Amino acid sequence: MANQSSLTVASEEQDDAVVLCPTGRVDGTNVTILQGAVRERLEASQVRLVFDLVELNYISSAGLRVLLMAARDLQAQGGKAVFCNLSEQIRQVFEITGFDKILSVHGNREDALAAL
Amino acid sequence: MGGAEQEHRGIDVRLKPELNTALTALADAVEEFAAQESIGGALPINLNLVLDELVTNSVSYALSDVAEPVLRLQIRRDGDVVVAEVEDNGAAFDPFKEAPKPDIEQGLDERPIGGLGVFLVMQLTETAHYERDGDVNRIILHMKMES
Repeated sequence: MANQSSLTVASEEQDDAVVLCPTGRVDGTNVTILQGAVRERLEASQVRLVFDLVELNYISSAGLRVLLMAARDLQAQGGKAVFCNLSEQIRQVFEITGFDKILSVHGNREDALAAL
Repeated sequence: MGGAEQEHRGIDVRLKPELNTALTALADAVEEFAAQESIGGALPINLNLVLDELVTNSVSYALSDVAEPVLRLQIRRDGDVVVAEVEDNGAAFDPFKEAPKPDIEQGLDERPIGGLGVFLVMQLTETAHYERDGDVNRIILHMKMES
């Protein structure tokens, strides 16, 4: 049976930034996990965030909304969100929704860090 | 002949109107259908996504105030087209007419937060059609299989 709500978010600090690595699937049942991981960093005034999506294999609109809000909130606090290593499904939904144009999307983590 | 066998194929399930259970059952249904029909590539994940969006809306909005909620999912193959139907007995609501349409040209600050789910459904399907049948909302999706 597919474990629909399987999502964990690992984080590590790298080059004055925080890299968040969500693993699994993000949908309406578990978006609060991703939201919580972002809020925790905002509250600690860590506003330079890399979302390394290499281990994320599914995202629905519920997850997209959290990423959009995160990018907005970070920008409002003088920071930035950058995204890298999108899987094929995630790249496709970014393109369809125009997220690839409004978010800072990069091929790999080095490029993402450089864009912060 | 093959016709009779064909009729037994496909998926027809009642989903429990609780988000976690419904999305898990839906992912299983898509997986089972894809295995039945030996469908690979992007279609199963896209089918899962569009049904996720519709079922999430049904559970979170349409059925939230319904005393005896019914949520039904059917998936079948018709030639080179996958036909999926989602039914609920919530208040009449045509998402393709009434949901806000996102302007994907807007920038980060202007982008409204809503409307993305229905937009994804419309973009990832050949046709997405709504009908009201008695007290049932029915959404019928057609997705073309890759040749």
